[in-house]
Amino acid sequence: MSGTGQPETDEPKDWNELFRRQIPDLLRLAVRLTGNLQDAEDIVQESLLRAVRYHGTFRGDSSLRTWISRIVVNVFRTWSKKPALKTTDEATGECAADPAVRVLERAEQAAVVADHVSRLPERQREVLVLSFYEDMTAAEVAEVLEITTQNVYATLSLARQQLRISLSFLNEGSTQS
Amino acid sequence: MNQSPDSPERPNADGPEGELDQLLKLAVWPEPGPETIARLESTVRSAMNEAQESAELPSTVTFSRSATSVRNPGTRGAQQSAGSSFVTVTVIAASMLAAFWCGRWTGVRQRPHQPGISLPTAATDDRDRDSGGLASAASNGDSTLMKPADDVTSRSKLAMAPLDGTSQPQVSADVATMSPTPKTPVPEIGGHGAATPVADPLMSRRSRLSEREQLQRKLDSVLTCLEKEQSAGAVCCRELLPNRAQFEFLLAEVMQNATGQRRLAAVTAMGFVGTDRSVPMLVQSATAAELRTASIAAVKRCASENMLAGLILQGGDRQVMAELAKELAGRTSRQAATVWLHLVRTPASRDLCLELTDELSEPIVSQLFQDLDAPLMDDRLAAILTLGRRSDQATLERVLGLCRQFPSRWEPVAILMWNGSETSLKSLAVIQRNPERFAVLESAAIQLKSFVGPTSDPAKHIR
Repeated sequence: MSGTGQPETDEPKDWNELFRRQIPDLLRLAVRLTGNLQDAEDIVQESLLRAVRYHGTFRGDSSLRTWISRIVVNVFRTWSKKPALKTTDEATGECAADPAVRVLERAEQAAVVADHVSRLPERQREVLVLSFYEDMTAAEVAEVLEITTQNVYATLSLARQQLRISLSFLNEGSTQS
Repeated sequence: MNQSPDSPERPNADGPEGELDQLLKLAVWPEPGPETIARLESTVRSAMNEAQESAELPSTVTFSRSATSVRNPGTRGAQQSAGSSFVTVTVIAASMLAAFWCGRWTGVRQRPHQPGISLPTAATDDRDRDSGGLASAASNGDSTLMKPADDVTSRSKLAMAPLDGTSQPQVSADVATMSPTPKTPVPEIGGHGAATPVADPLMSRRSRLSEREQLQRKLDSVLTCLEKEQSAGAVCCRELLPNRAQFEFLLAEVMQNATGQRRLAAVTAMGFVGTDRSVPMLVQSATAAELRTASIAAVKRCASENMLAGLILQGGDRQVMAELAKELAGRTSRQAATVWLHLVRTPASRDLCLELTDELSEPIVSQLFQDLDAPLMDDRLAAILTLGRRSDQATLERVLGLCRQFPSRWEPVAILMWNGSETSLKSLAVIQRNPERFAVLESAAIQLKSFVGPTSDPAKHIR
């Protein structure tokens, strides 16, 4: 991932190539922020339309991906103003000896963790997804979210603390097996 | 926690933060499919076109300080392509003109049917002679072609019509190897003129009979071979395959008229050359005790999937039906999967088929997994019942994979319910703990109950 101020050497030469390259990554980012594919698709669609419309504001002083990620986050913030999703308590059962069942149980755990991440407060979710799942540096995260790096560290710490508490039951379940 | 100036902290893998990292790495979100990406691409492309039309998007797109221009219509590239297309059109037109003039020149030189030019005899003499085939050596009026069928020694080289327009027919290759009998002129249909030397009907009848006799002779040798060695059916019957339609007919006659070992051999041979047309006769011959095994084997070998399904639906001896169903289960065609679904849908044949689910070939199993998305609900349920009764681990793991991949689909859950194995029950217990899966479980139970009836209670798996 290129650093801030260093444009990518393999920049696409037209918009078609741009979309083709960016859409899968943007979709994954949006899915991790929203927690479901349909909303993610809507967000990415709106983000790309904004990118087409406001291309003139892109001055090239950051990477293209950073720029579009910022748009995605902004659109996500607009989307998240909608009523919050209902939360449910997920519980996992005892770890079955059958490996096939264990695989299923692991898949269920994976869904639970993803759900908890998607239910974090908005800012914490953004910071965690961008830093942990999108492998962005603190500076890049700060640039996307238009905050300081200190703010990034602090928010990330809060997000991890929140998840540590909410996912503690999973750790208890795994230690009992 | 150590905080690097560039990246957020990555805590020690052994500590509680490391455990949290491990959990976070577990998280899995739904993956966007190619259709989602294609939809977005088309939406954005149309927006881009609109933007270009309204001049919102400049012709060049600069992404960095070193601008890279986008190729646009109307630039030098387009002009070059226009020029090249003109050249192409010119070349094509010139070649067409050249071909036209060449054709005119060759047409003048080689115009047919002009007097003074010798043509192949078939062209001029057909009105007075029998036409056709290789017997156009009537150019020299040679009546030696009208020879008895047995005269193979004087099988002279037949003269073929020359192609270069010369009057002297050229000698051709000997075509005796193509046919055991020398060619005789085929009587012209309709008859042109009384002076036509028509072939002797007795001679032509002899040629037709001889052809049948030849087939009969070949069949007799095959049947004799089979009488000696029943197990060598494939080897013995190989020479029947080129003319299987004729031999099927002859074998039917033998099966009706012959007795004993001859008849048994005919039944065996029918299994190799027969088609669905012969199945009723083979089924009928299976009533004889001495022909039963060979007849069933022949039916299994030559019947199509539809015919096998029809026989199973017709009912009869359960052991025979089981053998036919087993044969159908081993087939690999798509039609086999289709008729299998039909048999499972039909209550009369359902139990028989569900007993043989472990015998299904891999292509049928794969097709059944695809049929979980079939448009007809009955087809889906038939596939669910079939897959649910399989006992192999590979199928179960595949079903569990579908449960993971498609948590909102009831079909894989229904398979687990119908399967009823220990692994399936444990998996259902895991699924039940998720309240959001309750609707899926209910749907699966309701669908299964509606299909198999109230005697089976898949809902017992729901606590």
